[in-house]
Amino acid sequence: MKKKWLVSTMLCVSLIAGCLTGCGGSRNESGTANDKAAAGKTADVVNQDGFPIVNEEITLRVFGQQGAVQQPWDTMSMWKKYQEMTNIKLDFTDVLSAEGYDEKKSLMWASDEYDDVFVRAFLSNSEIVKYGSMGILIPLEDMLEQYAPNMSKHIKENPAILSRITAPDGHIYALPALIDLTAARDEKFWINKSWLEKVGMEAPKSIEDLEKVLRAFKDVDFNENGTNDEVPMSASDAQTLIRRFAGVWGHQWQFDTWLEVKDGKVTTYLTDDSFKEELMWLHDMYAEGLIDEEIFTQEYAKYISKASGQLLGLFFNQADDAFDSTDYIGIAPFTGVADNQYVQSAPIARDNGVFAISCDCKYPEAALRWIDYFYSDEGSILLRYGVEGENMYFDETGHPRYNDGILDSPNGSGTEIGKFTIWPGGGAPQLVNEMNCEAIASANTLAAQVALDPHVPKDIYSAPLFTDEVNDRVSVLWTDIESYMKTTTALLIRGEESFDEWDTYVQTLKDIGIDEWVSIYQEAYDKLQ
Amino acid sequence: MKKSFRKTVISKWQLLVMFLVPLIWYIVFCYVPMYGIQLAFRNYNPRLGYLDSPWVGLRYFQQFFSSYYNRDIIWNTVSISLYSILFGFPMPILLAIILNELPGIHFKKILQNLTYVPHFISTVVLCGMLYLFLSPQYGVLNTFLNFLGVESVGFLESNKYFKAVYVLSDIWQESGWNSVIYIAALAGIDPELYEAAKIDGAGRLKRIIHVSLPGITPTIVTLLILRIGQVMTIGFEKAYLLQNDLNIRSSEIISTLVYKQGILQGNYGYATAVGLFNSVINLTLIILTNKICKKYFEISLW
Amino acid sequence: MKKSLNDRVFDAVIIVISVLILLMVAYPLYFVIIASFSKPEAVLAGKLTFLPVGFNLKSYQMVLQEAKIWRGYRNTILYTVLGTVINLFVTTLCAYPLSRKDMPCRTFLTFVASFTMLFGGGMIPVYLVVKNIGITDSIWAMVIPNALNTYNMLVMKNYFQSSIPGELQEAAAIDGCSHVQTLLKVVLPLSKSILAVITLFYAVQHWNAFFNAIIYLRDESLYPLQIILREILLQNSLEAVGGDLTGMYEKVMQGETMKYALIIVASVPILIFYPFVQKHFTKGIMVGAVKG
Repeated sequence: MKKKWLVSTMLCVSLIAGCLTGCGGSRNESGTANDKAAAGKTADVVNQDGFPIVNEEITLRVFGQQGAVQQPWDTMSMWKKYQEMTNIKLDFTDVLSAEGYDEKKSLMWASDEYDDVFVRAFLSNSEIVKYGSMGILIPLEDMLEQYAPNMSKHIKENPAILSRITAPDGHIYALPALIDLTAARDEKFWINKSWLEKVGMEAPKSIEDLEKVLRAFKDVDFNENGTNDEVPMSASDAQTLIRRFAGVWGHQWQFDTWLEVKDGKVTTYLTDDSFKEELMWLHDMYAEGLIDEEIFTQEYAKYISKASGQLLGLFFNQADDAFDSTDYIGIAPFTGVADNQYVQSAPIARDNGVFAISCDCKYPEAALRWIDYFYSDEGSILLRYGVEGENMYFDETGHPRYNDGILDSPNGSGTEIGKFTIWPGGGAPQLVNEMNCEAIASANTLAAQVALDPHVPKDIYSAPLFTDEVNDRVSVLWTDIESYMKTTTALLIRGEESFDEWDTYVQTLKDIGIDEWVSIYQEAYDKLQ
Repeated sequence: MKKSFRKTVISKWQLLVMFLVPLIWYIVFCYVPMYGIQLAFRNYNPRLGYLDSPWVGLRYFQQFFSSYYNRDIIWNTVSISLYSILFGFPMPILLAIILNELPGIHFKKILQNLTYVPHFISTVVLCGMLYLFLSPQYGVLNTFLNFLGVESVGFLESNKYFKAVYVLSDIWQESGWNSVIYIAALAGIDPELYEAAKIDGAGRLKRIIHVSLPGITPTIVTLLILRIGQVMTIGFEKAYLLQNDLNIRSSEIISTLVYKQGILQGNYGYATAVGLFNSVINLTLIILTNKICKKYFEISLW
Repeated sequence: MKKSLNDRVFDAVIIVISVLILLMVAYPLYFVIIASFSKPEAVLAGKLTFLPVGFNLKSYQMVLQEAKIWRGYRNTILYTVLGTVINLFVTTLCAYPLSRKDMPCRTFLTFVASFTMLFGGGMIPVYLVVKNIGITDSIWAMVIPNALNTYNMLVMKNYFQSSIPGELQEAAAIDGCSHVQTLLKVVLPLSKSILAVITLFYAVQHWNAFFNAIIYLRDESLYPLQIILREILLQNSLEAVGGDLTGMYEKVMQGETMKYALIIVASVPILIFYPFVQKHFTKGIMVGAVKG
């Protein structure tokens, strides 16, 4: 009797199990077939150029990350306008990072049910290759010429973009943001001019000057509020600070990591003696109280609030959109410790993975045409400025300008612009050039860039797309290296670990496999050549 | 035989029907997912489903054991758990005994109810409180230390203090709540035993040792077995919410690793493999402790 | 009877320890309360000890102005009430049959239930199941996957077994009561204390849950309070806070004390709930868990 029960229970279990897990598989096969059939048809539906993109209204389901300073996407005037123009309705799933964007993105991949397109979804290189090769992201390269004329034009003008976005299997699964403006690709060294005047000093040129200036800044109550809330030097986090000064110590930032390329050889400076010197210098500064104590744990919002509250002497930010820069000037990296100074600049295709199309999308051609508009001059203005009249106007020279009250909003221009467009916070499918950069390239920012220009490396390599297997290895190595390096450098700067232990640090990185990690990049570099 | 079976089923049909709802729930939400454990051995491709994803054998287990940090992570998991047992497990027992001995019913009530309060605070809120209280810049604990002439300590910005913060905050939050069960057990001890001890001339302390403690030993042992069975299970929420670059060497535990790898980075196979390793150890531990307790205390969970 | 000297010393020691415990438990809670009423500058400068400094209600204003928090509140209440009702229903349906000696395959089925406490499939397979059933991004995702907690179920089962006389149930059966009637008319009325305890367990669990929401919900309008709390308390996402105060810096400052107010606003409802259950508490947990 008992046995019978057992058997029937087991039967039940397996039946339900079969249902719940099997469904996915079978639905799928028919799904792909449908996709293909549908794709054949929609190609005819899509208008080759001009607007609307389709004559009969279609809907695209859009998945992406709502930036911290952005309002929900369905309220944005930019999207409302674009829906009218294209006749493509949009159904958004836009999730804030703080509300579990990463979790939701990752579970979405597992679910075998995808939105049509990924916009500002921060797809990582490994995601692009992994899910591209699994067939979840569809290859775009064959459609580019016909349905993405603007993107194709940029690629022709700048072939480096192509190597940046092509996966090892030869496919292009995702599109990048194009940042044509050097000022938008690096972080400026901002120093507080009015503090300099008050202590009667010049803007520092060498590292020695800088030490003097920082010491002079310390303990002065510039804002006269009675508390010592001024900070001589800060950065958004400790790693950023180390990166900026690695440039001062003559190191580049290649492949979007701690690597440099010299005479065809890829090396890392994480184990260099010069890196030790840099950290020792930072340690001295920290011990003297010249570096923000909160640098190891603060959130970006807090950091920016200090900048906008005029509480910082020297700090780093790409533009002056988040703070009032009247009192700040941008200066060049400090001389005196290395022969050359480098600014750690990003490549033109700064953010990869800002747009991709899923296998569940019935109208890939329409989707591609839909996104390509934003890579045109006109479309980039819609994305960066919003709707004419409502958010912006064109001045007498024909340049786009934000309406009054936006750039000088007390909440920060980013928050204000984030009400109607998706670019504040980065990672959007956009084209940034001299024409449409007012918000992030004020006269002050451009002037700051002039100071940096001589220090931008000639070649900038972007993070390579590895095959899935190589990527598995890289990610194991890098997770350990990064975790170890982050903690150790922090402890060294704070003086909780002694520099006598430096050899142990180097040895541990070697044990983890830093040499193998470098050699993987060397291979990628060799393939590029 | 067949007939009697049918008869039982008919007469018990209501019981069976009642149980159907929970049974289906168990099957759907507990047993069907167990089928997904094969993710640990496959390179999962959602388009292909479980069965058609390529089999990779022990690749993910090898990956875990070849990772430089795996030993640290296992040690962190075990050590946080052991500290919790060592310091956290006796606390509710002590609290219960103190409450039991406390003269004055009102104060006793107040204290008892107050110690429950922290239990109702969510992990999110608790971690928020810890960040606020322990901040080296303006946290109240550091203000107090400064007042005593001690320099501020970044409790959460250090590998040294993380485990202490974790365990102590746990004690603060759960001791009162966990003491309920011991208070109940103490209340169940026959008063005559105390009287007898009193007549024998035993002082209060002696009575605690010779009457109260033996009286609640079965409860203590049962809870201890359950607790030891969970040595490798530490909820990821608190550790994850308190983690930062500066304490990661002591705050990375198996469950946070599984969460980061599986849920944040989409390495389902790897995460499932590590989780499976964890579950198997847990299962072994609970069976072992249960065996030992059965032998020496004659108390068993099943 | 007069107490001996020894006893009085002992009492004194016990009282001193108790007062210390009281302070250690209560002060952090008390500090949260006074900080929520104080000026941010004073809190950040560490000037707070026993009384609020610069008493004001700005932090509460800030909390109450935020539509997100209200919506989270409403959702959390909904999930807690609905979830707990479902929990009680399913838990009783599970515990009652398993507590009956005449339940067919009782040992095996108890094992089926208990085993899940020791071993599980992991987060991703569970997610896939929930997804395939089609309840993600709905209120059901918050109440169905956790409809039953095995530990609570076993506590209830033990209670049914040990404190409801088997004779009563037999007598009911002889009177012609069906199982459903026995459960409703005999067993449950005698189980108020355990029901109260289990209700509390489940309600606390629902009130404090944030993980299911992170995983299963995409639609912002469904987010429970804990998600909003995490955003503000731990990720310092001040953009979540209304932009009425001008200037980022002031906003960040006020944000710091707002956190204290938020902690209170979020924790008070569940604390209010507790005293109603409290009198059943010791009895319920004693019989359910200890004797089991």
